[in-house]
Amino acid sequence: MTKRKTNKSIEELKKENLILETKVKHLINDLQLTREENEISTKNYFEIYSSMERKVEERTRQVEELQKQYQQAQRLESIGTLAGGIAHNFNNLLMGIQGNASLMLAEIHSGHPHFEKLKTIQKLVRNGSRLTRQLLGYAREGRYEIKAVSLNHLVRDTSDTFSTTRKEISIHRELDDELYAIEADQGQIEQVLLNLYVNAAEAMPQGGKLFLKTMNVTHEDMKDKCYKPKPGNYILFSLRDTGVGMDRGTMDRIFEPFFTSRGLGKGTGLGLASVYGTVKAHGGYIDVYSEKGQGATFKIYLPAIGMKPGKEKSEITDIMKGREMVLLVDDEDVVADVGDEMLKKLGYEVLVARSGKEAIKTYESKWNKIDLVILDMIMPDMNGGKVYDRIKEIKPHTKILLSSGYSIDGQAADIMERGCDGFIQKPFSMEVLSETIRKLFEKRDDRLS
Amino acid sequence: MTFEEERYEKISKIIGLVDQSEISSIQSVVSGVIDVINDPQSSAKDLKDIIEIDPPLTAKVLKVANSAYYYSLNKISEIQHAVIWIGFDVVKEIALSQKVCEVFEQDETVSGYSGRSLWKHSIAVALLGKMICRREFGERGENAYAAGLLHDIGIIVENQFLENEFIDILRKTEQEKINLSKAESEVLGYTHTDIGKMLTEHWSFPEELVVAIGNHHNPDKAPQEFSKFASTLYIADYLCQERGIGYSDAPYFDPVVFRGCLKRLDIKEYALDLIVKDMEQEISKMEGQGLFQYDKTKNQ
Repeated sequence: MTKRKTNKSIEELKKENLILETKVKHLINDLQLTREENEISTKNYFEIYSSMERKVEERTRQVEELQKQYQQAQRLESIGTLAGGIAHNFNNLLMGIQGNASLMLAEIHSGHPHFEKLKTIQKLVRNGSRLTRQLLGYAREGRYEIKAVSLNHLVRDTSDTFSTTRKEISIHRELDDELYAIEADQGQIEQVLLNLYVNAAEAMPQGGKLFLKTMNVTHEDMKDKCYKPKPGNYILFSLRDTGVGMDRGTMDRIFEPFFTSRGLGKGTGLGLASVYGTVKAHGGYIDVYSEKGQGATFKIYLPAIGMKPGKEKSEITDIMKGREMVLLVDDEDVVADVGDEMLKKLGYEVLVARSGKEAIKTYESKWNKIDLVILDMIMPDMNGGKVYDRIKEIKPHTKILLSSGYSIDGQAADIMERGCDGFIQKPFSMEVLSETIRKLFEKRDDRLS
Repeated sequence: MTFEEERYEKISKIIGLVDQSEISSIQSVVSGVIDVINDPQSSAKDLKDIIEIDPPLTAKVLKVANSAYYYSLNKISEIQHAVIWIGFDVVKEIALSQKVCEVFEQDETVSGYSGRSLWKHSIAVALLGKMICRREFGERGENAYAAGLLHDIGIIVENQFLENEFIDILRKTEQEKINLSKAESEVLGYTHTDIGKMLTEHWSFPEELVVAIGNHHNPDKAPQEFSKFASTLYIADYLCQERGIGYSDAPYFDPVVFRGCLKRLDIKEYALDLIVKDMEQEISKMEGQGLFQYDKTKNQ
């Protein structure tokens, strides 16, 4: 019994042994292959890992670049706020000087010994005012007279004017006849163009070539830029000079106000800063490409509109008088006093209010006699916008002329959009004041007839 | 025209039809993966490029890679991640099987045959062929896997382009109790192995695969250098039919050829028993995971 069992066991054991041997062989083979596969997997893992690491490095670089650009934009922004504030106060001072000079001039004959000096004062004020306007341009303020304009037209006009003053620079134009119109403040865009020409000319003291080009593009064509343009049609104005060019460091700071690479006293350092501000205020983008010794290219993209530019009427500059009643609102004594006297000289009946509240009070009692309100934007107690709304509540058809040297958050533009009748930029001369007022009253007459 | 030439003409015509059909759409991916398998210099990136050019395939591969069958702990959302988490070789296999199965989607059963039952058979042969290579020979067996998947592609071609004849052939096998190849020879004058051979040749597959597919019913006739590979495929095919896994085109076994193969490869039957048992386990696990539900996922 035991023997039989043992015999069977030996046979079974032999068989089991064979199977176990096979199993071991199978396992060893499988293990060996798995180990090889593991090695390959590890190799793949490291390949993928290192390619990902490269991607991370690349992204990090991109983020750093964007951060740098953001800081740059922030710095420009804060300098802009500062510049705007300075311009505001400065404009009020200029307004006082301008006004007093205008008044004195009105009282003397051209033969008076002080006549020429007063004219010079006025000229200097105008120069000063141009400077503040550039500062305001940089601060992205004062974009008020918006209409459809043809950039080609402006480029032609300004470059013609410019070429007469710099004969050593030859200008080559390549303007797209089918160029879209843009919605812009013509004066500011002209200023942008002139500033760019002047900048280019300064880079080419020995003369050179200036290439001006316009063309239609879309946001798709601006894909490779570091900024993300809003979708839509744009017009591209590019300006290339053959001047000395600039290095990276200069290029980074070129749009900063008061930054100049041309040595102290040679430039104001405001030209390109105001270009930058104006382009931004018009919803556009500006790029600069340059290398030292290789000239520079500026590219400006401005949003296009689908309409044809309108025709400009010629301007009359004679002083025109009137007899209407004007309410002048300004919290700055200098401006209020000068404005008061100017208006009286022009024949108007004048009421002066030195704060928003006072303006409302005066208007409430004399609303049926007042023909026009000249309204300052920035006042400490109640700003121009609120006064505007209140006056329109009392009498919706009241003529209101906004006056400002500065505005916060585009308040002036906002009110203009709500249907305000006109805008006058401080400091203003008697001529400009009289003309603006007359135009305003003519507009009413048009509407009535 | 000799008999051989006539046969060649006939099959060439059919292959011309295949070229314009959906079947040929699997060629580029399948060839691509087979190239990756046979090129030691190829990398995971090559495989990724081949798969990702085919978005539906990419989706299918990721779905399979995320199934419980592969125990992946992380949600795999990219082929690259699949390569890391479940392995280069596994992704090759998934890509190959998911692509090849696209042409097996015919669910109607005629005389015991359906595209689905043939697919199950093909997967089983692929798996078993690979496992034999690994365990018995210590080889990776990736080509054996590919050969298993594709060895009966000739039947798919017949089903699609010789529809009436194919139904006659299937009826004949049932009524006369003969193997598919015999019925094919009688009705068509050639068999699905001839079609498979010419098609894979036409697709420029490696010779080893072409020979094994063309000789999977008669491995003895394969040239010496491919004899081992063809015999392995034969053994895998034979055992899957014997165990009744999926469709069987040769239910009337020829143990003589089988024993000849075992002898040639020096494999013991009990060793094969062990491997088959593991393979059956894998297949039922795959079925449990719904990995054969290709026709349903396709229609979704």
